Amino acid sequence: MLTFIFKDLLLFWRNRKEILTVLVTPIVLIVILSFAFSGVAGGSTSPLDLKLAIVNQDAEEAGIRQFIADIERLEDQTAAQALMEHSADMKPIAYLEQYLQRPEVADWLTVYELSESEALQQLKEKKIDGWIKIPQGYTYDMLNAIMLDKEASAVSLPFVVAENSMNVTVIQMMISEFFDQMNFQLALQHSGGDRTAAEAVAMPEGGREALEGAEPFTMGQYFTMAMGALFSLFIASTVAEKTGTEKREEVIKRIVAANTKPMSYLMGKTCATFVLVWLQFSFVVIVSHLLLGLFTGKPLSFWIGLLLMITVYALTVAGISAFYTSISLRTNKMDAANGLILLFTMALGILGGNFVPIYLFPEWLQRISEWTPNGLMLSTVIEWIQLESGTSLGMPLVVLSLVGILFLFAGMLLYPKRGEA
Amino acid sequence: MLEVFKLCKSYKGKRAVDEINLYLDEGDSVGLLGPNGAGKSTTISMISTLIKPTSGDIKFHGKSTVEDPAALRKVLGVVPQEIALYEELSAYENLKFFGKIYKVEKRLLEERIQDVLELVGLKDRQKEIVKTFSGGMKRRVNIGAALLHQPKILILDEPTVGIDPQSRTHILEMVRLMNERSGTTVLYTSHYMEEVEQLCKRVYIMDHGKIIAAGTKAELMSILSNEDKIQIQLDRPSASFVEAIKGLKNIHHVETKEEIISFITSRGSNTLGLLVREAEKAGAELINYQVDTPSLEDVFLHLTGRTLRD
Repeated sequence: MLTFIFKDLLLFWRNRKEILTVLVTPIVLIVILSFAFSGVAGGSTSPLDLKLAIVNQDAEEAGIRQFIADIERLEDQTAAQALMEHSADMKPIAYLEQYLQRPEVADWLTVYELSESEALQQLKEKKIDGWIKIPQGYTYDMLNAIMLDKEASAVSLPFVVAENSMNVTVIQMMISEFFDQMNFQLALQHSGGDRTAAEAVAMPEGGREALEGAEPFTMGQYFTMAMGALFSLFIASTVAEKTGTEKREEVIKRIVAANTKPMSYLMGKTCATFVLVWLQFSFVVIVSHLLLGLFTGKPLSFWIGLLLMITVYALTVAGISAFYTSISLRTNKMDAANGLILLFTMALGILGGNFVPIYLFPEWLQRISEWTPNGLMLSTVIEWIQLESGTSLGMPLVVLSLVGILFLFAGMLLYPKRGEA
Repeated sequence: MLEVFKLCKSYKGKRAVDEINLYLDEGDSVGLLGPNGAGKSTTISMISTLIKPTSGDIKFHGKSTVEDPAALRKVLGVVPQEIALYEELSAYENLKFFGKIYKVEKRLLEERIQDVLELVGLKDRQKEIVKTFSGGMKRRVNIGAALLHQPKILILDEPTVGIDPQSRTHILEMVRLMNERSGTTVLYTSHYMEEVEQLCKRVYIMDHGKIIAAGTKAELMSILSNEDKIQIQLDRPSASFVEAIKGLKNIHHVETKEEIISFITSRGSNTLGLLVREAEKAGAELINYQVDTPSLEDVFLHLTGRTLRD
């Protein structure tokens, strides 16, 4: 098998055009795309400038008083007393305002309090990105929904926008995260937790800085990982293409006639892909870092984690290349097979957020993105850049390894027996 | 040593190889002659254990290679019709790779590579990338790659297609030496009759997937023992003369190549007088009359009504 690995590496090394494609092109693209998207977003560290209006048509204090008056009339006075204690701290509108006006988001999110007509006018004049309407009776309905599990019509907050944009998407994400967090924490409290609502509502951060305690990531960092992941997939398709050449030029016949173990050839391709992807990805990261100073000041633990992710991702891509190799050996229409493999790779690249940042996608597309190996790699590595939390690596790395193993098994199953290729 | 019994191969219901029988003895040099599409390469692929036959069997020392190809593969060298090399690697690197996959011992490999390079006449160009070689040089490396493990049986599938006469001569001489000096058994396929005539003691002639004749050269030639091949030339070309002799008794397979007219006639039949008369009728003069020994090409023509290159 070592003979096959060495041969594939040597062939790759001899093909200077290939080397340039997988090593230099990603670096060039990283530089171009970083600047392009930084421009769109308004700078690399503070790319957003969101303007949001709140149209509050509710009277919070009156809503709370009305709710307390209702529960005072309950027959079970013990339960009523407990509910009253919690209700006193429960201020849904205040929480939302606090969440939107935190110092951490103040640089890129400006919140205005406007009347509905003012909000409509400013939206028309594009002075704001959108506005949230807090309808009359919101507090009362919200407390009923949370504390008494009653259905209420006013608990949702209409978000009004003139047109969809990146800014609108980010605001929607923030609001959605606010409610997710609040509902989750209140549910915990309601089911016996002893924290108060005010403590419980951990304010999630919004937009790109979606995780608590996270550092922002730059476009340069994003596209380094995106291009590394994408061009790794191209290596897998190149390996498949070379298999087609070996088949067409009858080298395969010679290899089979030499009585080699049937799987040696496939495993050689798989291992060679692993080595090539590992080297290529590491090269892209290191050169981008040296050119753009992307990870300056990061501790050793960051680099070890990054190396671990690259290693696991290289295994995944190696598995994919085994699958491609078997397909190439089975088909008699090499050009069609190569075309399909390239299309599949491009589709993975687009879905995985390798061309456009994932967070610009609608939420449903972001979910799909994480089902692609490159998308999962990308979101995991971005999370690693932001958090450097070892626990967040575990599951994605297991999933990536499993994907690689599945593809490898599929490749082994498809690998032609004598006379089938 | 190697026997082929009623070997068949069908693709999508169409028979590419149809119940052929063939054998190779130790030290044999056997030719498989036939036009393109006759089924030679499919036969070779089955004998080389690369594809499984639809039916029939191939036995090596009495054991089926269809069921267990390993024993044959160890002693088999296969030279595919295509240049089965890595063009981006040098001649040396190619030989080293193939030597390793043929499991040549590490301590012997370097020596074998140099021996093979010497044999194929490329020792001084071993470090050059194959892509830069001429067609003939590539063909020589292609053969060399099949010799590293010193095979007992060498199967060559049209190894001289598309190369210059010098490289062709070198390859033929190399194969002849391996057979005569090293005792390597050779199975050589070609549609070049003269190559098979030069190299092989026994010949199988294939057409449309079947073996239509087999034997030593002398045995095959005896098919034409009652016939002569005549070549004539007129002082000027005459289409009416050619048409006229095609109608003559005892003359068949008339062919015109440039100004030479050739045909087959029954041995002993006096055609000369007839030809002179027909030439006079056409207003021409017979200036050359030559009786040739028939070749395998003529045998093929006789058996199929076609030439090998049709």
